[in-house]
Parts: sequence; C-alpha cells; structure tokens
Amino acid sequence: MIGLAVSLLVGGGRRAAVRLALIVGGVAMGIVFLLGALAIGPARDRADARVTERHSPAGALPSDSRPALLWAAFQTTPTSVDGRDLEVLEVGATGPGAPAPLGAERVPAPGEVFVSPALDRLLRSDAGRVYRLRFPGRVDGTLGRAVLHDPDELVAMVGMPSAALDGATRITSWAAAGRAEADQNGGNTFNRRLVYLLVAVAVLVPIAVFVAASTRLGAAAREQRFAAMRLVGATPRQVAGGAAAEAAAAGLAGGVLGLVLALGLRTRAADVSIAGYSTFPADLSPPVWQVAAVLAATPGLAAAAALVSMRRIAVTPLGVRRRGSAGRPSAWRLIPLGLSWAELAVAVQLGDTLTEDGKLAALGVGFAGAILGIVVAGPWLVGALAGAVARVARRPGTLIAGRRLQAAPTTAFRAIGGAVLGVFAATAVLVYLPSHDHWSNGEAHVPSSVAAPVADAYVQVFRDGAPYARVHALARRLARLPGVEDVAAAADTRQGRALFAGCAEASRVLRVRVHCPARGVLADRSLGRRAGEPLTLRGARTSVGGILPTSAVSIVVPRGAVPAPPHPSVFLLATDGSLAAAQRVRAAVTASGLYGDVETAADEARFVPAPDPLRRQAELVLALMLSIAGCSLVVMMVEGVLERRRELAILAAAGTRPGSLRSAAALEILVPLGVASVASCVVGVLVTATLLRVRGIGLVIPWQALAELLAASALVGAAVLAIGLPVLGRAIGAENLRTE
Amino acid sequence: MLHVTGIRKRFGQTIALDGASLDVSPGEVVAVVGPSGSGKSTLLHCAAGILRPDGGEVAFDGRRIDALGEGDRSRLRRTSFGFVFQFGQLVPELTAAENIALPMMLGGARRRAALAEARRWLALLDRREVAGKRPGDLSGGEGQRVAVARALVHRPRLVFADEPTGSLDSLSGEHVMDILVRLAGDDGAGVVIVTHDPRVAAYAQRDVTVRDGRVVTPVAA
Ligand SMILES: Nc1ncnc2c1ncn2[C@@H]1O[C@H](COP(=O)(O)OP(=O)(O)OP(=O)(O)O)[C@@H](O)[C@H]1O
Ligand SMILES: [Mg+2]
Repeated sequence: MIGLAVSLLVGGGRRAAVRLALIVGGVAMGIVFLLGALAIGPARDRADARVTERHSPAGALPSDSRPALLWAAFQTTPTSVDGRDLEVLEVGATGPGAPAPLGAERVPAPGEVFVSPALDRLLRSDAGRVYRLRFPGRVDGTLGRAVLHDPDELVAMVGMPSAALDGATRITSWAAAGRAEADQNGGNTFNRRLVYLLVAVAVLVPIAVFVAASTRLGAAAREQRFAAMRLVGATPRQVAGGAAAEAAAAGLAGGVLGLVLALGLRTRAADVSIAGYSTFPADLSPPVWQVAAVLAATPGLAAAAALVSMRRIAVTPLGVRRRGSAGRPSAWRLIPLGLSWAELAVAVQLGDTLTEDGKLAALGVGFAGAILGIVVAGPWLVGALAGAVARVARRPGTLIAGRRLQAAPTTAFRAIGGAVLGVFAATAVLVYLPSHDHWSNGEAHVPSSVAAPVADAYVQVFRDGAPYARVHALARRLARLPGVEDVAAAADTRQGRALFAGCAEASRVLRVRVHCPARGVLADRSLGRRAGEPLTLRGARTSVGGILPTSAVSIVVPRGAVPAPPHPSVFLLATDGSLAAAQRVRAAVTASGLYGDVETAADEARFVPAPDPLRRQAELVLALMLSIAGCSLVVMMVEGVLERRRELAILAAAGTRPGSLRSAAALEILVPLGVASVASCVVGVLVTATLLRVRGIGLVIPWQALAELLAASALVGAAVLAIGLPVLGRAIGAENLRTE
Repeated sequence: MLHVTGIRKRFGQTIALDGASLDVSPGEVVAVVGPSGSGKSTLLHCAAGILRPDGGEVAFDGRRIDALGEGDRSRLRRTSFGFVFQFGQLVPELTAAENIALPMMLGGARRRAALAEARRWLALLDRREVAGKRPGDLSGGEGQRVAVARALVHRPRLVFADEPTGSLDSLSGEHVMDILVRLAGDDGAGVVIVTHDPRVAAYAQRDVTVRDGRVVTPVAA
C-alpha cells in the first residue's frame, strides 16, 4: 500500500507535483495560523502578568528585616517620550544583598539609569538624543524581558537613594511576588483565548478551501491513473488506501513545514506584531501538548478528507464516474440569512425589555447566523446572478462565463468564501467603531481636543505626604532650568484653576495679553460671571474685574487681590518652546521625588494616537483572508483553464478573438468576487446597524473605509487575473488541438 | 480558391511537413488520407492558418495567408472558415443552440437573431429537440451534428474537418458526413476532411494521400 501511494505521488508528472506542493503549502499555512492562534493567548497572558507584577509586586512582610529592594512603579503617572508612553521605575536598595530588580542584573546605583532596548535605540538615534535630558544619570544598563511587556515598550529604571523612596514597595525576594494575581483574570483570559481561536478557525476556512482547490489540480489525470490501476487488478480498497496514504503523507509534510515556518516566524516575532504589538519570541510558546495534537491530527484529517472525496467518485477499471450531480442551489438557501435577520429584528423590537445578557445572546446568535447565512446563500446568489447574466449576455465571453458559473455556482462561491467572510467581518468592525466612538463622544459631551492649549508647560504635583520643602525646591529648580523663562504658581480651586501672577507674568505664561483690572480678578467666560459680580475664591471675597481672553485657566488673580496659597501645587511655565526645555522640565519633576503630572506643548505636538488595535486586527484578518482567497482563485482559474485547454484551443483555432476568451475567464472570477463582496458588505452594514440599534447606538457609515474595503477585494481580483490570464494565453496554442 | 504549395513545418527535430501541396476549389470535397503521424493534421492546420508554415505558400482567394499576422488570420478563420474536430469542440456549459449561435455572436450578430438561426439549423438537422440540452447530455452523433452546424452556421467558404467521425460508430458517422457534405454543398463551400476511414473518404470527390510529410497522389482527380 505504501508502495502504491509512493507510485501515486511520483507518477503524476509536473501538474501532480505542483498540486502536491500547493497542498503541502496550504496545510503548512494553516498550521502556522493555528499555532499562531494557540500562541497568542499565552503570550499575551505572560506579557500582562509581567506588567501586573511590575506595577504591584507583593511586598515583604514588615517582620522581614533582610536588605530589601525598594520598588516604585508610578503606573498612574502618564508620561511620554517621542509621543509614546514611557514608564519610569524608581528603585533603590536598603543595603548590600538586596535582590536585583526584575529585568536587571543588579540594582542601579543612585544616578544610574537602565533602559529598555527600544528606549535605548531611541536615545541613541539622532532625533531621540534630546530625550537624554530626561535621564540626567548615566544610562548604563539594558532591561530584559522580565520587566517588559513587549520589545517595543519604553521603560526606564532609575536608581534612587533609598531615602527618596518612602512610599516604595519593599521586596526581599521575587519568588512569591505576582503569584496571587495570576488567576484573577481567568475569565477574561478564557474569553480572549476563545476569540483568538474563533478568528483562527475563521482563517482556517479559506485555507481549507485553498487546500481543497489544490486537490482539484490535475484531478482528472489522477483519477485516470486510479482507473488504470483498477484495470491492472488493484481492489477499490487498495486505490482508496493509496489515496488516503498520499493525503496523509502530504498532511504530514505540510505539518512539518508549518512547524518549521512557525518556528522561523517566531524568531521574527519582534517585527511581526501578531498580537497588535511586537512580541518576545520566548513568549510565543503554546503548550507542547497542543502543538503535538495539531501536528498529529493533520495527517489523519487529510487522510479522512481524501477518503470522503473518494466516495464521491466511482473508480472502475473502465474509467471514473461522478456519483450524483450537484443540484442547482435553490432560493431556499436564503432562509438562514432571513431567519437570523428576523431574530435580530425581534431583538430590536424587544429592545430594553431584554436583559444585558439577553441582548448579548441575541446579538451573538444573530451575528453567527448571519455568517452562516452568507455561506449558505452565497452559491444561490452567484448562480442566480450568473443565470441572469447569461440570459441577457450580448457578447460570447459574457455568455460563456455566465453559463459556466451557473453550472457550478457552489464551486465558484467556495473559492471566494474566505474573501466574503473577511469582508463581512471587516465591514462589521469598520461600521461599529466609528458609530461607537461617535456615540461615546456625544454622550460625554467632550470636545474632540480635550487638551486646551495650556501655556508651554504645566506641572501639577501631588505631595502625598512628602515635605512641602520639596515642592518649593522643585519650583526654584524649574525656574533655573535652561529654556524656562517664567514659572507662575497656580492652584486648583472650586472655581477652577486660578493663576496667581502679576499681569505681565500672566501674559507671558498664558501667551495672551492680559490687562489687569483696577480691582478684583479676571474670570474666564466659561465661568458665566459678568464683570462686577462678586466671587468667593479660596475663602476670600473678591469680584470679577474683567473677562479673560483665554480659557487656559479659569481665573487670573493679580497680586494682592486674593492671598496666594503658601504651597502651590500647580505651576504654569513659559519656555522657549523647545523639546529640550520640555524634557528638562519632566526630568526635574522626576528628580524631585514627587508624584507629578506634566504636560508640555512641545511633547503634545508629537503625540501620535495609537491605532485602534481592534481595527488593526480586523484589517489584518481581512488582508489574510483576502490573500488566501486570492490564492484559491488563482488555483481554480488555472485548473479551470488547463482542464478545458482543448476546448479553448479549438475556439481559438476557429477564430475566436483571444480577448473574448480572456473576458470569459476574467468574468468568471470577477462576477462572483464582486457580487459576493458587495453583498457581504451590505449584509455586514445591515447586521451591524441592527446590532447598534439593540445597544441604542446611532449608525455612522464610514463610506470611505467601506470603499477602500471593496477596492481591496477588487485588487485581489486584479492580482488573480494578472497571474491567471498568462496561463490562458499559453493554453490556447495550436499544440493543444492534438488528441492525446 | 485555396492553394497550398510546398509547405514545410517542423516541430523541434520532427519534420512534420516536407513540401506538401493541396488545392481546393469552391464546392469541392477533398479527403486527406494517410498513415498516422504522416502530417495530415499539420497540413490542415497550416492550410487553415492556425499554424504558420516554416516555408512554402498558403494562398486563399489569391491572398497569402501565411504572411498575415495572428489577428488577421484569426479574423479570416472566424469569418471564412468553419471547423469540425473529433471531439471537445462544444463548450460544455452552453446549450446546443447557444453553441451553434456562438460563431455568429463572435461575428457580432445579435444574440436573439443568432439563437433563432441556430434553431433553424437544428431543424435542418432534424434535431430541434436538443436545442436546450448541454453537450454532456447529447449522444456522440448528436454532438457531432451540432458541431457541423456550428461549423457551417456563419456560411464559411471553406470547412476543415479533422477526423469528424473518429469517435462515432459507422451509422452515426455516415449521418454526420451526410449533413456535412450536403449542407456545405448547398452553400457552395469547399470541404477538406482529414480521415483514416475509407468510407468517409468515399464522400470526397478526390483523395490526397500524405506520407512522411509529402503529398504522394497527383493533385488532379
Ligand atoms: N505540436 C507539436 N509538437 C511536436 N510535434 C508535433 C506537434 N504536432 C505534430 N507533431 C509531430 O508531427 C508529426 C505529424 O503529426 P500530425 O498530427 O500532423 O500527424 P497525423 O497525420 O495527423 O497523425 P494522426 O493520423 O495520428 O492524427 C508527428 O510525428 C507528430 O508527432
Ligand atoms: Mg491527426
């Protein structure tokens, strides 16, 4: 039997070899995705667990008097470098023998800074050199994976004298830390893994189609060989066994190749951001039993699939007969789509009488039903449309394409099924996201730019028990920094932020001309007070002397109008506007040992909003599904042409313009792809609109994004034609007229 | 009408034609016979402008067609020639009527008119009932009759047939030859038939025997 399988494998000539290569490649691709999906979940869990441990490690017991590491992760301090988030960890040791911090070999001495590799690269780059000002200490260490979420994270570990770390966590051993957090997000983790697995399965569908399409390559010649073997005495069992062994061998080869590819890709994990961000290769290791199960199941599944497909044909010594002809798909196939729609409509009607869980269940059923509905209804749609095209076709190319599609709509739709599902899922995400954003923005009445331009920089400190002297020292320090021109004190009051400054100073800090009134304070228009109205500020009675020409602060208090607070908590700065000055301000706040919030116009201008990860992942999945569908279409187009090459060559010999043949071949690809893409886009919009209705969110249709989506699927069609049409050109040569 | 003189054609090392000649007048039926591999099909392909000979001349209506470009030869084949092959010439997804209508649609005829004409031809063949059937559902003889109709429907001046009865039993073969010769004759079209079968050759007014790439019988009847 093995010998038979081998002879089947090698005996088929070039097309059989191509076919085998495509099957192995398709299986390998599927294995890569499956392993990737299995790896992403644990990888994200590991990364998240490290962040959890970094932010809140378990401290030592008060009774534990061994030398300790002092660990302060100001996780709530929003700070940024080059428009990206930066996390600063402050550490110190209470004595020799303290444990080393996570990700470092030793405790940085006061004045030393250890940086993550990405931050190191930034600081070494020409554009990033200015950020060195943020770390006045020596940068002489690199942080490792144990303290980082991902390789691109920007983290700095700053060594501090232990005296400056009053509130820090004392750690005498890392062994016990972080364990308690692990299973707290168990449910969350499970959901996330489920989503990844579902996505992987969704991607596997088009891959399976691709493999199935590849098995059709040279199928006629192969079946002829089966018949010939029956003729020389092989039993039906032997032929089926040979086919199954062949498939199992291809499955095994594909599995091994997939594993090799996955391992190769893993080493590039830092560059291929599969989880929406870069990943440490070491994080991407799914449980071994899962990998083993996937690899073991592949040959078995391949053999089973081969046996099932053998049941559809009857191999006799005299030839091969197809069992039963596929009936034309009927309009009944629209029913599942209609049902899921009806279900969603009912959910809309019921609206708020449903519980949250009820809504979720209704939506889940409706959404899954819609996907199933598209898959079931697709062949009918393609067949119906092809029939209509064939009925009205004026040109022979259109007529041939229409009739061919009408004859085998299921096959045609199968090839594009992946593209269709991808378009549907991407449409749903593309419509949902802007609608949801619009709704949540409208709800909160937050203007789109939250940060009103505040001076050149502002610093807010939260003393949190530290001595007032530190705040005053910081103020003096800020005033002396190169690039800083003015520092004005402010305080947050019940009336809003109040700037205590003379008018000349206020004009410089706020970058507007402020005219001081004879008496009273200047109030921002949004306060709703008219000039002359009385006002109570910090317990003192005063009045509105004039209106402020800016809303950067609520009130400007000229000297003497109301006593300034003895210990201000907010400073407004005028600087030369440079990025360097902004970095010096931030460094000074970090060095002050106070928990502070800094915003600078220079940094703000560089801020790049991170792309929505959901949107990015949806785009990624779509791109994947479209390209796999493209591969299937290429294989099907090439096989369709090769299978009919005599017929096509005769048409060409009889004088048919090559253009007519090309347009027939092109339409066979473009009609189903176009129709199905548009249809699934429309269904996607409708289903998402219903989903939004149930949640009470208004629909925002992102026309441009949807147009780009359809353009992407058109591009796939064009790419398929670019590969497939040259094959057609070769197939209509006169040598194909010869009988074989 | 068709003058083929001294054409040569080789495929790699194989010399398929080595100075073959052939003349066909309007309304004349010529059979090309000879052993397998002697170059009959190649001669037909060259005469019909499907292949370009390496040497020699092919003239149709006094026009050198071996010198024409692919596009012009294609148009000539579409408008002036008809073809019947042994098998595999009908588009399997099209109905019999649509298959017959195809050459007219390729020539720019309206779909409706082309289909009406196709049905008229099926009536001539006495096979009106197969109009809506697909080639897979036709018997071999019916399929070849439809193929003959397709070759003649656009009223070609010359019909080329390569083993048109090769896969038929003798009775069906005679039916097919009957209609081919009769209907071509009605239109005054010339016919070139490549065949192994002496009964088919008997329908011709004259025989041409090809051996080792040369025509060995004198051209005159
Ligand atoms: N496209 C081609 N490539 C290579 N060799 C060819 C090609 N076409 C024909 N030949 C060779 O040219 C010779 C003549 O072939 P041709 O098909 O004309 O013979 P034939 O007389 O039609 O034979 P048969 O009666 O078997 O159909 C043969 O040796 C054949 O192998
Ligand atoms: Mg031949």
